[in-house]
Amino acid sequence: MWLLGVRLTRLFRWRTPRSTAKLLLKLAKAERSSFYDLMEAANRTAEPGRRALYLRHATDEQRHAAIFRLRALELEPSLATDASAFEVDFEHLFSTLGEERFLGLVHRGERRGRAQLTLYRDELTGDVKTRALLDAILKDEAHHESYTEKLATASARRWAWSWEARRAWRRLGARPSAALFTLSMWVVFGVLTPFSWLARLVTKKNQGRGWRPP
Amino acid sequence: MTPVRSPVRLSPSKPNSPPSCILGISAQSHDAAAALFIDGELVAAMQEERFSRIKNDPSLPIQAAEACLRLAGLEAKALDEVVFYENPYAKLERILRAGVRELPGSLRQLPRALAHQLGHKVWVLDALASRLGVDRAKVTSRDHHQCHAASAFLLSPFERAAVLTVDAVGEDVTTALWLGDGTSLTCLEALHFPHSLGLLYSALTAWLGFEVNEGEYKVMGLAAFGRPSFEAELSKLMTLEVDGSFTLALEYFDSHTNTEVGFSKKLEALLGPRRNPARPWDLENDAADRRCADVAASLQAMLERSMLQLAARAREKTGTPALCLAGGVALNAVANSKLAAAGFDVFVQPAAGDAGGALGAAALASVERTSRRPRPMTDAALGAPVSGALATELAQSLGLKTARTDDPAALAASEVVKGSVVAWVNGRLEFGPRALGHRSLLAMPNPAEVRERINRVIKRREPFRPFAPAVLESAAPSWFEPFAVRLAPFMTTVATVREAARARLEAVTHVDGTARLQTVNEATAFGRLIGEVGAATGVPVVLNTSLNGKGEPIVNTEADALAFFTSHPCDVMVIDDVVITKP
Repeated sequence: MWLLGVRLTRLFRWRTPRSTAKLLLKLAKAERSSFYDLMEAANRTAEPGRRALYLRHATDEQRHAAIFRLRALELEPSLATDASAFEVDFEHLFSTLGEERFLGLVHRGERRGRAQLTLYRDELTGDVKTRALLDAILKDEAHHESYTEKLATASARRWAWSWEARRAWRRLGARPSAALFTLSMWVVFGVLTPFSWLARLVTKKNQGRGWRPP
Repeated sequence: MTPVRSPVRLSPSKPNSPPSCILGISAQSHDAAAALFIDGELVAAMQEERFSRIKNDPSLPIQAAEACLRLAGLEAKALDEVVFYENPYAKLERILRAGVRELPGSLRQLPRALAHQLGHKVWVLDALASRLGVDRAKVTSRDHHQCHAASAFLLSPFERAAVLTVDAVGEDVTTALWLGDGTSLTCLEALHFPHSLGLLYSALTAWLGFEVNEGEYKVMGLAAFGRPSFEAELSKLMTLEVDGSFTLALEYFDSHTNTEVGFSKKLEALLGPRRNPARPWDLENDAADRRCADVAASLQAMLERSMLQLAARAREKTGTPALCLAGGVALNAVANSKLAAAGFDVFVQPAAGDAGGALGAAALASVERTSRRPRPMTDAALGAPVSGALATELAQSLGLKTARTDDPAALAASEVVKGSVVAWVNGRLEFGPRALGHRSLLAMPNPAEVRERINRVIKRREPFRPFAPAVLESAAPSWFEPFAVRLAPFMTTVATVREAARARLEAVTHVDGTARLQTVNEATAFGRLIGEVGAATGVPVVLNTSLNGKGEPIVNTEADALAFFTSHPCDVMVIDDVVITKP
């Protein structure tokens, strides 16, 4: 279902070098965010073997983020100052959910990521350079998917689905909440406006300049 | 030099009383931190950014707090008090008052500010209690500038001193003058929002295309490349009074309506449009960039004049030349050196910015409970240590080569002498923005190409930014003109490199002939390393820069260090007693 949605938006994705670059920056953000979560896991897990696996995974994600970003800027240099080139969505998954559930989520994310990147790679028949970098990254993704599959319990993988659904719902809800907040602020501003004149009058009497006793 | 405190405790703690455990917290502005005092002494202090890996992370420093407690072998329930470094209600009042006064200009900014205040900041004491798992009654707050003042004075070597706290803004105060005497700290007078040296410097930092709360020290470095030819223009921004107070011309600023840049269109009309942050710097060939350097130089000159006036006021009010500084402005090492040159005996602890607020908050509560001051701060290594065994295991899993050594300092020194760039991870992590030889990248202080290599290839930062020299304490006078000895261990001052030494220190000598030096005690591991370099080359100095990638905080753990090593082209990494190289 989700892949069907991705397939349907194909035309918009590769329309111009700019749209490709924007997509690559999005992928860079996902990899960068994953790097932060995995570094947290590497620093907090109690199991030495897993610490090494998380660290290796994190360094892979960091390298992928750099590759995606470089290619994006090659395609569209004007995006160098775009905020999306630096954004991170660090969710502290390890510390908030615990290791078992963290692994369930990481595995789910890796599986989805690999499917998505494979689809993109297959779509990119004309852009040899981007295709080549996706090929290289897919090898790492396959390893990430396989090691997390071994570590993640079946119940954690099932739980990850419901957690992601709840997260999507919360994110969807953030927009109407923001609109409601803006609306309520306008009401507050209406009430406060007369006080702003009063505040200015008071300020003129006492300019707030110079030394004052505590 | 001003008489310093006797090493004997002022008033010993009561016999048989249980040790007091105080945790100080700064958060929700920028650079959150936690500091732990046990039985009147500072035992640990760490910044949240080192754990979350988000530079200047403002979120509640729960990981840092837990790490402090872990290091001391305590659980949160053992804490007697958790002290937050700001009064959240007073701050809300100031934001509401200022926002309402500026309506309708604050229409965009005020909702965001209120959402942040009402959604997070006013609940901070409750949030700390629940996240740390301590009784809410144990969580208290102190005023922002009081915490800054405490961090500066209570940990200083002075028995009596004037204290100046200068930053952007606390609850309402932007600058305050205090008298510290024994265990007491009295506020004598204060300047209030919006008249703020911190806001002035931040607004110009943004105009120069740097990030606010991050790029201020870049402005300081850039200033050396310019001439103060914009003083007439900048004098329109601020009026400096003879009593040290100052007034900003508010029409040039926009801190109520735009906290990201903090300046108004009128400032752009005065100085020209803001520099494009994405444009690479070229001070040699680009006239516009040289003009920016001139603006930076003029701003720096203005700041130095203001600080000298403030210091003169402090001396007049307190009658002592001993001066403790805190607040973000106190991290301006060039201004600090000017104060020292003017005859003030200056002390600035290494985390003088907001992170140090945690230190001050805990110190205040500790002094209230124990009636004695902590020992003077002489070392910034207050974080968690690293382990060579863990580093070996992780490095091997990443396919890196490892070898144990009995003398890591000698080995790292031999690599530095060979011309390698060495990542040096040793002992406890530093507190504050500077790497002081525990999480550092080290190299020879010459030739100048070393600076280019590190700036452009490893740290990928602006080419004009200087690197600091770390020098053996005993050798420093031979290489540098007289400097503020109390500040040099924490890299909070600059010194002029002696003319005869410049050729041998060219990678660490800034364009104006100065260097932000760090003096290092010979008895430490870092000191031994520098001593070995000195023995081999005749120059007991190394280039020392923080161990972090572009836009990242300084590394903390073994894993962070290895993640840096695998993604940056440095030659050798030494973690504790393990040497790591790439295959």
